[in-house]
Amino acid sequence: MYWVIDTAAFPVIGVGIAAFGLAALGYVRTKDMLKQQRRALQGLDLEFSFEKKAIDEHSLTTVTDTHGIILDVNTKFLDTFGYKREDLIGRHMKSIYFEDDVALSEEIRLKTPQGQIWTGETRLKRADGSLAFTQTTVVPLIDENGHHVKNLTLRIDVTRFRAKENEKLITSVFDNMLDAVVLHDPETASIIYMNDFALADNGWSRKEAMARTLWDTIYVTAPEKMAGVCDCIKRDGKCTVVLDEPDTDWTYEARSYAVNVEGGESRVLTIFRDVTQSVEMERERNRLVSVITHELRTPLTSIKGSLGLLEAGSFGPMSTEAKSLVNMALRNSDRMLELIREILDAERAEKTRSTPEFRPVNLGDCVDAAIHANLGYGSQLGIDFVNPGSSGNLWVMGDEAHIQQILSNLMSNAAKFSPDGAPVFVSATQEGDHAVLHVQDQGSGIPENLQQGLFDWFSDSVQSERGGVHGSGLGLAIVKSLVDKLNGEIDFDTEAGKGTCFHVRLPVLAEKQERRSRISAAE
Amino acid sequence: MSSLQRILHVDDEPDIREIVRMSLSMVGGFEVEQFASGMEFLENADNAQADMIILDVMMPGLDGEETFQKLREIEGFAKTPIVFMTARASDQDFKRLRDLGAADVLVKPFDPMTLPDQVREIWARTQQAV
Repeated sequence: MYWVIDTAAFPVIGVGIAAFGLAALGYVRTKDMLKQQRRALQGLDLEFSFEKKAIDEHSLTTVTDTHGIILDVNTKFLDTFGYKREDLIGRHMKSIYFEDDVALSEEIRLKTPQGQIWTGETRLKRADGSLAFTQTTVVPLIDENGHHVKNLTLRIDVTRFRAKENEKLITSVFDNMLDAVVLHDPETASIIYMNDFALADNGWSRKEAMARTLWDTIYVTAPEKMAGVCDCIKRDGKCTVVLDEPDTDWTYEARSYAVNVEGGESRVLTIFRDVTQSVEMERERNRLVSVITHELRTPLTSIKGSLGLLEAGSFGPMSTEAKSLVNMALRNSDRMLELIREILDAERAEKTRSTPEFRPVNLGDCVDAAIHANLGYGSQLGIDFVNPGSSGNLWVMGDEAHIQQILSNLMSNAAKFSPDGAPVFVSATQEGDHAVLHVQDQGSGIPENLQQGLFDWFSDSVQSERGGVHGSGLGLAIVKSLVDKLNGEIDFDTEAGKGTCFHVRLPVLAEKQERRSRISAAE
Repeated sequence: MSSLQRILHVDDEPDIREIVRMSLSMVGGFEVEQFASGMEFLENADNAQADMIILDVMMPGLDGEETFQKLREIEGFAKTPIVFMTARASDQDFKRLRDLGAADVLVKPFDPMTLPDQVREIWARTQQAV
């Protein structure tokens, strides 16, 4: 059998074969291209995954929509800040910004639709509410039509770095101080920083100091004294204690303060000041004053005693002239005695410039104690101090020694300005939110021209009922100074010929507060 | 309550002893025995009797506080009310003397006309405490 092919068909066959070949070639090429594209895509995918992994490992990332709503967070973000994914997705980003930075989050959100990348530091809240510093970059995604689609935010937690920077800032201030400064952990007392002065005092290098605690320093020879400091700081934020050990030659004053470094942990800063010299001077001064007043009072005792017996007629009646001379001698003895009292008052004023120690104080008890303490003084002047009736259970937050001195000064004044036999009334009452101390005399009242500057230092004073006894002008100024320190107020009522009543107002301590304060003071 | 009749007084200053004697015996009507030092008192303590003792604080040799402590070791004076009389007037001095166990502290200078009343008042308080 033979196939007979018409030669005229040859061209058609040829085209057909060519077409088939082209198609086959096209198929192969397309297949190759597809393979290449697939390979390229796979390569891109790999690269993308690689870069995403790198970002996820390095950064804390969030994706937010154009309104600031969180669409996605990476695991590192969740682990670093302590959140769960379900806590954040759908939540507004500004809800985890630190309160002071909420406005900043809005500013960022409004800037990024323009395609601008924002970079800066932001402060976020961790899940536990603590503060975190982050170095932040916000990258907006803009589509091909120029529309803002979302933001990708990349963060690095720089909290520790900032805390260290803040600590460095604080410690640089102390490097040049001439007092010993120690920054330590409040729980373990481990030393975090010592200034050069403290290092030299203790003979340590900076490295050696970091391996020690506060108890290893030369200042703390009695650890039990400093141990109470940490409790005091937790309660009050600061504490002062004097370290004065019998077998050492020195006295240190330790002032400790709670320090919260922004972004960091709690610390205690203690400044040790060598007060040996000033303590010694104070002791010497006290001794001198005590000796001087004793040496002056001793002969005055004999002078006043003998004159007093003569004046009372113990050795028979005297002529008018003799009595006048005896009176003159007695007046001048009293004047000398008053001078000694003023010297002591001025000394007390100097000492009570120190800060009062606030504790719950029962004012009724203070009044009774003051009356008892001044009985002798009063009887010398022929004056009784009487409590006509005080409010029971009247508590204030104050310094008892200061309150006693206020009462003592007012009572002494009142006694000087009371006629013989007229009692001075001392009481404590409640008036609204205030506890009020009252000291009332029955003298001639305070002249109007002296009332204005009555509480000024070295104010003009009037001649007292005792005759010829002028004050130094210190007593009431000291009282005012003490009342101010106790956050109180002082005023007076006076009437010519009737007498004067001084009122000292102090904020009353409510019963619950008083009980709580007494319990914590006892602890 | 027994009455206060006999007072012992110790002070190194003769003038002050004189004033106290006049005040307590002439004005107050008490029997008064006096010594010029803590040591003199202790040397005569066996023969001494007192309802109350008044002690000066600042004395040469044995001062008032040391005399106080020695007196407390003597059976006859272990519970006798002892009052200090002093020209040293600081709060710390008062506190220290009261803490030692003194019945009270009197301040110099004193009024000789009222000293007997002050002493009676202290006596009354000590008897109430007993």
